[in-house]
Amino acid sequence: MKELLEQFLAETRELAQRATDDLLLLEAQPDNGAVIDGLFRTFHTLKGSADIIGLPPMSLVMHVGEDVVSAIRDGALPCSPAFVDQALKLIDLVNDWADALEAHGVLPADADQVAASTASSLRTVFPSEQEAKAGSSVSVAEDDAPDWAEAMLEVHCQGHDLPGDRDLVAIAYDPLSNAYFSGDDPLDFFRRLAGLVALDVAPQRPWPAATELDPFECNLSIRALALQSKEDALAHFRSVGDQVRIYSLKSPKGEKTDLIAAVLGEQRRLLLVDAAPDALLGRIGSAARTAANALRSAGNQLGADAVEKAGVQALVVRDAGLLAEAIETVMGGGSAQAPVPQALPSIAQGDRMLRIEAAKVDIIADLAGELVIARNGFAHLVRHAEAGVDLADLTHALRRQYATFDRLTAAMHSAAMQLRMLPLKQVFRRFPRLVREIDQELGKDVELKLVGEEVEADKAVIEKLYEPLLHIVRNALDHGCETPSERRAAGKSARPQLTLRALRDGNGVRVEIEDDGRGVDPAVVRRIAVARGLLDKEAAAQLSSEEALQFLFVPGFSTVSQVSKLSGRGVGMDAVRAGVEELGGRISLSSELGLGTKVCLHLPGSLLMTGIMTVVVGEEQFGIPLDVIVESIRAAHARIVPIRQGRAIVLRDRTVPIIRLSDRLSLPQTPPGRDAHIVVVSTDSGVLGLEVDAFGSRMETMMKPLDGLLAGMENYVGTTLLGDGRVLLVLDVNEVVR
Amino acid sequence: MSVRLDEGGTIRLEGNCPVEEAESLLALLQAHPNAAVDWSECQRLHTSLVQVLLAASPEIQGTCADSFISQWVALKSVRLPDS
Repeated sequence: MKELLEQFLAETRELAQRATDDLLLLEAQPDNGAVIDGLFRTFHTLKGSADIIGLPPMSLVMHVGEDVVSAIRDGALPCSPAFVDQALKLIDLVNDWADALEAHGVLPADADQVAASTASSLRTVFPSEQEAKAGSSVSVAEDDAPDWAEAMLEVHCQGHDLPGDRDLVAIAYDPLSNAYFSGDDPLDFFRRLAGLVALDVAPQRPWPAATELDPFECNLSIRALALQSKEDALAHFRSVGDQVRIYSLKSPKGEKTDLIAAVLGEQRRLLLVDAAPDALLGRIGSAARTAANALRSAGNQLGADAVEKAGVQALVVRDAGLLAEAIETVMGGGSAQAPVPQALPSIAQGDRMLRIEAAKVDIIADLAGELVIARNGFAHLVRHAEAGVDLADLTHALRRQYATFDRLTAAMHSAAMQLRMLPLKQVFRRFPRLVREIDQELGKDVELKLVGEEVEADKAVIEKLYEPLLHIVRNALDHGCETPSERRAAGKSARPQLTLRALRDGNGVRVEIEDDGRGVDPAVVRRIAVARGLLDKEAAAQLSSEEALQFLFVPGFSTVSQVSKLSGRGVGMDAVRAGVEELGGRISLSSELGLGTKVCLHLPGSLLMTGIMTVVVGEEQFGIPLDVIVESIRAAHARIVPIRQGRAIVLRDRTVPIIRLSDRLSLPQTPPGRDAHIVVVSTDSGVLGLEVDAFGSRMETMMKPLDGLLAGMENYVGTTLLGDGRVLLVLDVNEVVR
Repeated sequence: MSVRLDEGGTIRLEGNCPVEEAESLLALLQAHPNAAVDWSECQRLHTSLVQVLLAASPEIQGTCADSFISQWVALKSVRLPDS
């Protein structure tokens, strides 16, 4: 169950994101049918998975959402900004619920009420639709009887004597897709209809695949003939008047036209028209049925059988041509028609998200195969060695084998690292929604462009990139971009442009956030830097514009409350820098006054997170890599016993020597606390305990190797940045205890 | 239960089959795509179930006891080999 829930949550979030993408796209292109279809599928899947996991409130809201999207898809409802707003709220709700499920395992207590109110506010988009429909077809009475009615009359009523003195009506009833939901039983209208003569039930749209079928979405189109007055029929269908059309027909009396031929010809014509692959089977089935019925009614049993048989064959090989041919034969041959165009195979499958690209897995599988072969090479060498071959030969062979092995393991390693690579899209795709939202408050009508979404970076970078990016984008929207009137005054296009761009950059990735806004004035930056006491006036005057801009990243600069008024950036840029450096990257900013600002994040392409635990010794904090830590314990000082020059503690019947970290690092000793804090580590010299003053926290972090002045330092393997921007030295435990 | 799978692997519609049963029927048909549907005991069939039967086109056994359905709604018993 837990796994199911986890999968559900992952899928729901992904679908919610996809729906958000689609909705934003729809706002820009309300007529994009493919996007509407995609949105419908997404809503549908969300509803389906809510059903599976047993979340009626979510199922309810998604169902209503689906109804609305379906109405839009069918052209009954415009894709309005109001709808996009409502639908985005719906997605928010779904996300909130997913969060609640993850945290507590259940939906919030108010989920039912929230679902009901969300559903009813979603439904408010409906009345206008029904008015529109009702308005256009309230008369229900175009008197020209449609062709289907004539054909139906012929097919179903051949041989029956219809009383000529009674009115005959043709009824077309296309229930709304939410008919079942609103309590209608469409066929029941015909069950209760007096004088029913013929009834045909067919899908309105082609049937979806069995797995996609929604049992509660009505997809039927009902055609009927009844001996009724038109007025009575209208009254009978009053409650669904907007979905029903009723026509008066003349009873067939005597006039014997060659309707059979007409019916057959029509079916044949339909079969030869290109059909969507998913509509093809339905079309074959209905044509075979109609043609066979027509033939049977005319007493042509043999012909009917032949057509039916051809229909089944046509269904099996998915070739409408077979049936068309059979019908033609029955009709008495005639002119040969052009060959039936083959329907294209269906490609409109929804993209199933595979979290790891299949190709990447293939590469690893291939490499694994090669490694096995290389291993067999070693077995061969062993046999040679056992047979006592010349040592020089053996060495040569070994070296060659080693080279192969080396190449393969390196390739394997890089392929494995590739598995951690994710496209920047995963971060970028969150921004259209965000920009839209911020923009709604600011009213700047910003145009967001995403470039290079396919560029990949390490999972760790991708996951941590969002926040720094968010800060930068907010700043750009808030301070960088001008209002439309300001822009017009400056002779720019009315819509500010904001571009998020990812580029490969050597081994790393560069992410650029560029706006064409008002830019940052270096003079203002200089003035603020001086005012904040970060440098004196002369020094400030000597800064180049570029150098001056770097002060935006200095902690303390941005705390000036007026910064945001002064057409500059600066709010939280020091935090952004800390965030980027934590990832092992760096940040730079360039700006041209009046033309815009560009922030560049230079990020490492691949890196691995290291788990560390921080410990406190005196005033200082150090990191210890988690992989060497066996356990951390607090023990009363009395448990530590002196052994010769050293000290030790007995842990689980094992004597563990204890070393004071402060001694090893030549730090002043601090007065002992109530308990001793001991980190038990496994080192090259065996298991021992490091005594520290306090335990800090565990963290996953990007460790940078020591470089520059630190490069020669003993006792440390690297540095990392703490959340507050301080540098943390990570201990090389083996070195420390040596 | 008005929709159930019997021991012989046949899906049986019995008595009154209201709109709620459409989902159970669909679920059964999805789980047992080759199962036949016997509706000879079905007294009342809601449109939504008719729709499921039309869409999934399973093999139909018997004559529907709902006379309106048996008289007016013809369901093929032709099965597509690949669906």
